[in-house]
Order: sequence, then structure tokens, then C-alpha cells
Amino acid sequence: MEDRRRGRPGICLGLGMLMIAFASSATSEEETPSLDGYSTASDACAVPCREKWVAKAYFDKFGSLEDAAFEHYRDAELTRCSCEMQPLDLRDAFKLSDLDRRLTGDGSHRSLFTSIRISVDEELAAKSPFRFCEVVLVERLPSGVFADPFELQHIRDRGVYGEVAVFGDANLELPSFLSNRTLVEVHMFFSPNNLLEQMNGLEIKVDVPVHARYQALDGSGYSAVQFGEPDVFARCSMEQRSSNQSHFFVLTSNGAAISYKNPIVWKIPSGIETHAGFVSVVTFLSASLSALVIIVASVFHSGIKLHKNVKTL
Amino acid sequence: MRLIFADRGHCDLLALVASELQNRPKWWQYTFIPASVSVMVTVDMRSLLLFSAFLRVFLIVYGEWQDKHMEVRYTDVDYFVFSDAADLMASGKSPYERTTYRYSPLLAFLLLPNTFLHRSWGKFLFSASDLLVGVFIYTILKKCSVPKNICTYCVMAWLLNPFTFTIGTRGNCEPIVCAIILWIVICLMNGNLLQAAVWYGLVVHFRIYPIIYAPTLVLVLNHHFFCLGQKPVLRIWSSGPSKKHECSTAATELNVLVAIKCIFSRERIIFGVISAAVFFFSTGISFFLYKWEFLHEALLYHLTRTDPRHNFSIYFYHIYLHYEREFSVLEKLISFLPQFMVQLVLVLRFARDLPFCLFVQTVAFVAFNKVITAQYFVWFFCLLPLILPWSTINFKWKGLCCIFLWMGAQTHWLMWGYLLEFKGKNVFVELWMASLVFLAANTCVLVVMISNHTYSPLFQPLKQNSSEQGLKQE
Repeated sequence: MEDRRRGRPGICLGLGMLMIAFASSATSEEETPSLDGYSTASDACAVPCREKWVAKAYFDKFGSLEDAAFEHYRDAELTRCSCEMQPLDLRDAFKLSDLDRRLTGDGSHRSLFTSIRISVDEELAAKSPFRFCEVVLVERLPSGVFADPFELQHIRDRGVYGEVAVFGDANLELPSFLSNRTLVEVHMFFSPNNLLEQMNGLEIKVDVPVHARYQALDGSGYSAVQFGEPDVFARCSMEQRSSNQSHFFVLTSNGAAISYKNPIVWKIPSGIETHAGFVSVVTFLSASLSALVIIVASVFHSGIKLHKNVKTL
Repeated sequence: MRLIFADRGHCDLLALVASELQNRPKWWQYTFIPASVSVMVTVDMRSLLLFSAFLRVFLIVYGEWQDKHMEVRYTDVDYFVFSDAADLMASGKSPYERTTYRYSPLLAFLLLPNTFLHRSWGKFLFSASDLLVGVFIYTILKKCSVPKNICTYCVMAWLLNPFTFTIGTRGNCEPIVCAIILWIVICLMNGNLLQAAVWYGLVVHFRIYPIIYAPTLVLVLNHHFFCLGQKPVLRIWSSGPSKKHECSTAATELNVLVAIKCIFSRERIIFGVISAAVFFFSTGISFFLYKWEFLHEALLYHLTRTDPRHNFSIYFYHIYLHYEREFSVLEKLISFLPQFMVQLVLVLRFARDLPFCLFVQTVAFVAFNKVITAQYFVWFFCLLPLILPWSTINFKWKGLCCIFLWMGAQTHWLMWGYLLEFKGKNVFVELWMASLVFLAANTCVLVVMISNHTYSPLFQPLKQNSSEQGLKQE
């Protein structure tokens, strides 16, 4: 069973330009961000952008994942980093030409598959001083679904991901109504030079194993869990895996029309509330009956009777 | 392994075989090749241990290969939890920083070499404990004068059980607990009360569930049968069923007044005080090092654990349906009552037959528990070989029926569990009913084992059998 969704990259990628700034002035056409409690502009620029993990600063501040708060953080605090001139050519050099999402597998353990195709403007890319880039895919998993951080680490150790981190609720045993949401951040590395050599651009595939929590009781017997859109960023640097002197930018669409279809919905089995009374009664009766049978067998155990029987064996 | 070939014309040898058969439990059979050749197969304990050790080493090596090359890992998820906790401890941090580490810090300490030597150290440790359980089973049975071949076959029931050799090689720590419990039995059989008490306190700290054996161990330390400073007189297998006066003694244990009067014997008080002291000392040190996190994760969690997710327990669906609200005290008491009553009756009835009592207690405890996972089965698998020589169950067909019934009920549950977890079908009701069937199967097997067991107190009366001390197997 799978759900497909092809979404406009611009919907989730319509962010301002992100910059890690060391200079004090900003010359972008967008609104100059306020300092909002930071003592200097460089501090304001540096805080979330120097972090290896995009979502870390959010969770340090808020603790749990909520869409409205995260989107505000994404749009306001991450965009604060537009403090030095963003080479306009850079964001035009790499474009998102396709984004495909599917939920694959059956049962309580599935995979959220995301395919990102990046096209490159050869002329602009050749001018870019950056040699190392990474796509940062941020999946905000809905309530009722979680990712196992240790499983993802194992996948990373096998070389499937560049880097991966899980934020949010780490208790994997709690049902959905007693747990918080999970956020998965996946970094996939690519080299602009390699991208130039590929005719059709670069396709990055990310498969995130996800697991269903026990859902709240539902009369229908199933609970529908809907996945939202991922947030996709990119970061390029001159040095490998360095968050300093690197530049965030948004992978915007290259203008290709992408049709929108139904969102990804996962129907997870849930308990039925009307069963509660019957199940409780039968459970206790069964336990009591079994206990009674064992007690009777023990009390009337023929430890003495066997004196006669053993001799005949 | 020895093979003895005999032609049917060799009457002397056949007569020997027939006489040996007369004294064997019915479940234990020789295999005969038809036609003119009779074959008696015996397995040497040393060969069995060597083969078992080789099998476990092979599985550990294979497990490492599978973990590295295949998506589905051989190693249990819990092993990674233990290893991560050990890494944290090695770097001076709390092992409880590792989520889902809910064990004593002692376990992380034992696995410190995972960090310094090789990550498979723990698996070798658990598998070695697994082999040690086999040795202890053999030792206990030999002390009761069980014939060597029967001892070896009973050990095979543990060492060659697929549950057991996969448990240790996948990195589960239950074999350590099993080994300690059997060692406690050996200590008592040797008259080492103090050592038994120390190990008991330690094993309860390590894993909470052996606390259910406390009443049994206290009751078995009856002054008439176990005296400090004196080696107890052990039951002898070949002597047949227990004598009438012992049975009447056993019957008087049901007399509550007599039991209360005898309960405060010197041996019982010493055992209780020392084991409690060791438990509180170990727990105290752990609390001093890791504070409330240790207390909550390693102790309180297990005492109050209710898991709404599907497992073999009949309570899982009931818990899930009521998880959004707290259970009342009355509901908790009602759910605990069957477990409590069964344990009480089993202890009062069978305490003196120590291995049997431990076995039936464990089976009942697991069957009535709020959460049942497959690793719990190891808790009674290690005790099963100790009771086989005293069972009158015919392997064909009663024994086989019990095995198929138990495994069939489990397989039936697994089928519904598969449909729920891997196919996403709403089969909660069917799965819950399968757990009821599994409880029924456990009950049935337990009743059969109780009904076909020759009650045989482990310790004979000291005064009345003092003349038999020279006949002790040691």
C-alpha cells in the first residue's frame, strides 16, 4: 500500500535566504530582521545557522514539536541569518526540479520515501566557490508516528545517509495520546562538481523508516494519520562538513509544473472503545478460571496417591 | 557419544537394557534400530558441552556477520541498549542516559569490556552463562543420584533448546539470572546457606522477578530438614516416591498454625536478613551513584509496568482500552488477585520440592503477568530439566501433546500478531482471544505437569535419615 504525493517545492521551500553571516551588513531586498534580544547582529545571525542541526535550536527553545511554532522558527529565526550578501547566483545555480513522496510498506513499520531531483545551471555552478554541499531534509512526523533514532543511526553507519538526527519524543513505547511528535533531520551530501557531470541532474533519495504508535481509540477501528510536507534546505561550504563559512539557501523550483495529488495518509489500526467492558469482564473471568483450575490441581495433587501408582510403573 | 551394538541373540545385554528401562521415567526412551540390531545411544556430557559451546560461538560469529551485511539484524535490540549503557558508564556518565535501559547498573558494568575489548564480549558472557546453566543442571541432578544418562538428556533439553541458544547468542542477559538461581539451589544442597542468601539478594537486585521465590526459599529452610552447619540430606532419585511420613509432614505444612510457629527459625532469619542486606546494599550503591533515575528505571518501572502494546498477556487489550484513564486501586487489586492466589497455593503445596515449586511458580507467574514477552520463557526453561526425572509423563504421546499444545497456542498468537503488526489489519479482538487460548494452554500444561509429578522433597528429615547419610550421592 502506498500513497504518493507530488507537491510544489515552493510551498515548503518558500523561505527567505539563509546565510551564515560574519559581516555586519545585509544588502538583501528582504526586510532587515530585528535583533530581538541578541546583542549584536553577528550573534543573531550565528545562533541557529552555525548549528549542525537545523532543528536543534528549535528544540532547545521549545522542547516539543508544533507546526505553527516550527514554521515561525523557520520563517523568522532561520531567515535572521541573512546578514551578508548572499551570492544571488548560488541559489539560482541549483534548482529543485522534482519532489516525490511515498509511504511504502505494510503494517506498523513503513518507510517514508522522498525523492529530490536537483538540476544545475552549469554556468552559475562553475562560478561557485563551494565544493561541498548537502541537502537538509526535515521531516515533521505527525502524531502517532515515530522514528527510531538507533535504527536511523544503524542505517547511517551502513552509509545510506550522510548524517541523521531525531528530535522530539524518545519514548518509543508510549501510545500517541501520551507522546509528543518526532522530527527527523537527514543530511545528504553531494558535490557540485559531480552534479555538473550528470546530464539529468542529481537525484537524492531518502528513505526514513517510520513506525506506528498505538493510537487513540476509534469507533471505526482505524486512525488516519496524515503526513505534512517536508522542509528542504541546502547548505554549501568550501570546507567539507563545516558549518562555519557555509551558506544556507533554499532549493526552489526551476519552474517545472508539478501536479498536486492527495496527501499521504496512513491508516493505523486502533482499539474500539465499545469493546472495553466485554474485554475486561472476559479477561478477569479467564484469569480467575485458570487460577482456580491450577489451585484445584495443586490442592488435590496426588502426592500420596502416587505411592500406589508408582509401584506399577 | 557411545554406541553399543547388540544382536538380539545377546540376551545378557538385552536383559541389562530391560532392567535399566524399568527404572527410567516413561518419557525417556531408547532408540532401537529394527531388524537384528539393537542400538543404545548415550551422549557424553563433555561432548554435549563442547558441541553446545561450538554452536554458540558459531551463532555469535554469524550474528556479527548478519548485523553487518543484512538489514535485519541478528542481535537483539536490548543488546545495543546494554552496550550503549556500558559505553556511557565507561565514559563516566550514567547508563540511564540511554533510553530504555531499565536494568541494574551491574549489567552495564559487566559489559564494560564491550567498550574496551570487543562489542561481542557480552554475547560470550551470556552464552557462557548459558553453558553454566547446563553444568548446574547436571550437578543438581547428579547430587540426587539421577543416572548419568538421564542427567545428560535433561541437560540437552536446555542446551539444545532453540529458545535458549538463540537468547544468549542474540545478546539477552537472562542466562545470567538462570545460572544464579540454579547456583542458589546448589548452595542450599551443599548446606551453604550464607552463600545462597548472598546470591539471592544479588539476583533480586539484578532482576526483580526472583522475588517470587522468597516464600519458597524461606519455607524450604525448615529446621527439621535444613540446619545451619550441617549438610542437608538430599533426596535420592532411585529411592522412588516420598515416604508416607514425609507426606504427612508435607501435609502439616498446610497447617497454618504450625507454619507460623516454625517460620522464625534461625536458618530462615539468617537467610532473610543476609539476602535483604545484600539487596539493599546493592540497591543503595546504585542509588548513590545514579539517584532517582536508577530507582525509577531499574525497579519501579518493573513493579508498575503495564504495556498497552500487544504481547502474549491476556491483559494487553484490557490495558490498551483503558490506557487513557488511570486504573482504580480496586481494579489493580482484582487483576493481581489470580496471580497472588496461584502463587500462594503453589508455594504452600510444593515448597519442599524446591525445583518443582520454583518451576511451577515461574510458569504461573509468567502466564498471569501483565506483560509477557518471549524472553520470559527462559525463566522456566532452565528449571524444566530439574523436574523431568520425577515426571511420569509419557513422552509419547502426553509429552508431545503438551509441547505441541503450548507451541501451537504460541504460533496461533503469532499469526494474529503478524496480521496486526506487519499487515496493518485491525485484529485486536482476535489477537486478544489468541492470548486467552495461550493462557489456557499454559494452564493445561501446568496442570498436566502437576498431576504427573512425583512429589519428592529436596531435603530429607535430618534426624530420621541420619543413617542414610552414607548413601548420599556425594
